[in-house]
Amino acid sequence: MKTVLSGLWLALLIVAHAAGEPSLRAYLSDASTRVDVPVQLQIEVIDGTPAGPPGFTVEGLAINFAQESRKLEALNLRATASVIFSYVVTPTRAGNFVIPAVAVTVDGRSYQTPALHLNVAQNSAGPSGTPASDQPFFGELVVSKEVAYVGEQIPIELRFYFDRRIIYQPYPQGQLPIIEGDGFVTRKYPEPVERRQVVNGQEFKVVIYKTAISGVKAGRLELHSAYQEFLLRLPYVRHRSDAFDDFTGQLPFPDLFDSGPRKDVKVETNGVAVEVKALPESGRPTNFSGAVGQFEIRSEADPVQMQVGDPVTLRVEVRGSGNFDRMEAPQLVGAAGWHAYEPTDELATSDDVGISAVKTFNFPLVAEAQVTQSPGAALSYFDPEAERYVEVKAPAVPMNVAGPAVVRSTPSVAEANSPAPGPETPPSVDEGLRDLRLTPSPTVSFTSILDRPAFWYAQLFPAAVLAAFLVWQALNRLGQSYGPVLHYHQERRQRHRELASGDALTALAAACRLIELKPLIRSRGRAPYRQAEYLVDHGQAPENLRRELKALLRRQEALAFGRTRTDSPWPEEERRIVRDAITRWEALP
Amino acid sequence: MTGLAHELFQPARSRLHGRPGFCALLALCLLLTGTIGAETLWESAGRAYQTGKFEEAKGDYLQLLSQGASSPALFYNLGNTWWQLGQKGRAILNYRRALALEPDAKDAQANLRHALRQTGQDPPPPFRTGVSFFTDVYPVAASAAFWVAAFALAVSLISRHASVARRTRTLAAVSALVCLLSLGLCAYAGYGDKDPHGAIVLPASLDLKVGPAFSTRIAETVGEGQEVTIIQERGAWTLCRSETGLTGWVPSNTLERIVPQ
Repeated sequence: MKTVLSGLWLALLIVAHAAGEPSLRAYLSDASTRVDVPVQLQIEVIDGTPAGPPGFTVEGLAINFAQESRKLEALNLRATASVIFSYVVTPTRAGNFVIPAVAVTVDGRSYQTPALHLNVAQNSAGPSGTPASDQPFFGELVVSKEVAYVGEQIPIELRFYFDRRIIYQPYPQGQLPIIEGDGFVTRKYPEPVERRQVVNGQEFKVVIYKTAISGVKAGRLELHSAYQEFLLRLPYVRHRSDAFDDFTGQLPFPDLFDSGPRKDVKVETNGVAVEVKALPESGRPTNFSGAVGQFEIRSEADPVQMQVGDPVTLRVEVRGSGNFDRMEAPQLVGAAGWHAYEPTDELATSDDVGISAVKTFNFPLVAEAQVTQSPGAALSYFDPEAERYVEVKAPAVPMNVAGPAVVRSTPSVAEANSPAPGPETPPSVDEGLRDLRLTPSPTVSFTSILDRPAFWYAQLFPAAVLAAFLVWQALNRLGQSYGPVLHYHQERRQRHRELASGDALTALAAACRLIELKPLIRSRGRAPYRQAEYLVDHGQAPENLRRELKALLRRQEALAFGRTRTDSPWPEEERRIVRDAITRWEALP
Repeated sequence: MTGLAHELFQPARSRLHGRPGFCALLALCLLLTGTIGAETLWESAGRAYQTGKFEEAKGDYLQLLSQGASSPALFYNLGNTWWQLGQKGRAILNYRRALALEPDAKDAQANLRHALRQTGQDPPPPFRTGVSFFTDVYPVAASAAFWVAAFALAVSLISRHASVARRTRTLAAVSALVCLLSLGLCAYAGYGDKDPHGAIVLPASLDLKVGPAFSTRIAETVGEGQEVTIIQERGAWTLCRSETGLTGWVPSNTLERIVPQ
């Protein structure tokens, strides 16, 4: 296996040599450190074969060669082979050191590394602040400044060191460090970075959380400590006597390894104090936005050609570093002729912590008159470096607004930002809501109209009207159809009564009429009227009945128009004969 | 106690029985007293709201509601008050109630749209809103059109004048079309905002469970102010259907029906 790797190394080296000239890099694991806190120096020879690790010394720094390693990389189909010489640099005194260029012989030629700078601070924290490099794990809290203003963002680093052979993970998973203390606000934690660092000749894996805190009140801000729980384990378990022979030469935490491969531990850092100063009252502008830091401002508008009444968006961009979360919107200046609404804002951070960012305020504007430029924007903030209030301004954007002026109905943001004229401040109500109704309205039922009996009862009225109308029409039609028939039947009954009880003239007249009624009744009034004599002559009566009926008709004519009228009673026999004839006439089909 | 009350009030009733004028005056006085009291409560609620005392305003409006004054203006103002108190679900509920009683209330429509946007919901499409807001009109229109068509048809069948018959037949046909259209809208809109099964989600987030127990799996999570349809109630749990069509059980006290029961 080793032979194969060596062969591969040589092949890549040959390819790398063919690709180009060798190059050198040198870098420190940390550009600043403290006395007795070592850093790692690495000299990397790329695409070349060095003669060996160069030796060099610097006054005030103990530089010891640690190891030589090799690295193969293939990027964009280009292979590079590197040889890395690692040194442990341990400062013995404070100061700014320059590690000079070191000559390295590569492939028979001499090359120079770049010079490196190392800033070494006095170990002022004393024994308690010194990272306990004799322990397999420990924590460190690094604060960038010891004096700050209220609201000023103070970058801090939480470093958790672990021996290089310890495998760790935050426990519970996703848990973030907790800083003990009060009177400050911590920004969000970005993803931690991990790197390797040599401390006192011992290599550690370091988990670094970078964030920022800001004091919320003036006074001494005590950060007692920060801690995080980790679940630690060794990649494999060996017998105690073998496991730590090459670790530190002793048993650093016997409980951990005795109890098994995993254990959760609380890694705690040192404490730090920061003096938080209040923002100065003198010189504070009335339009102070609450921002603390360094900022720049610029603005742009779109569109720049429009009619009066058209909307336009004024984008005011605030860029810099500081407490963007506390920053209020910039004030619009020179807003005459404009109706400005409440702006919306969006934040785009340019670092992991969120100290450096760009906050954009979008002001919706409506031109109310012919104006030639947009409103300008002004932001007032406190600069902690200069220790004074600063106002930055974005100039107005030239614009072309045409058309007649309009009348405003609601106050603009520019007016709202100005001091209130009255002593009372309006209540805090949601601007998006329409206001209350001042007059009560009558009580209304939730019952749907389909569920109201009144609706269905109301249907009965037109139904009844329609039914009555139809019945009336039907009766009318019925009357028109059966009226004459009923009348003939009524007359027939009347004539029969006259035939039965009247005098001769009346009875015979009734008999004549009964002869005429028979076809009318049979045809339900549709047959044309015919005189009795015609009916007898043209009817289907038998001959004897026809003779009797004709005799009856002559007798009736004689009595009606002749001089043989008599007041004597009509003989019953004759009446019977007539009645019999009429009966037979009516019985004819 | 009943007997004592009977004895106490019986003479008075006997005396009043013969004095109808006095009775009418007394009734008028009682009515006026009640009206003035209600208006005072209404005005005090409005004043409390305007001065930012939203809790006080809410109490007054709820008291009015308990007195049976379920008017569109009361629900609208109560919606505004709940909104100011941060109870967005209850605000949406009361705007919906106001619109159920007064569908063309522009202020309630605007505030409902605002509340829905603020809770991350899309306002209902204008057509659907317009159709469902007038659910009480369609049955009336269908009924009126039906009877006009019926009368016109009857007249056209009976009339002996050709021109009258032709005109009434045309009227009957048009009325029948209007009736069918109204019935279609009626079927489409249903009860609209007066649907007795409609309810609003009150908490900021509500899990629809597969079964009526907290330990069961979550079928869907609905947000504050969303409308659900109640399917069944079983003890302290309610089976409902969300706007996405999924059904699930929720604790009954996390919903409130749009149409009060």
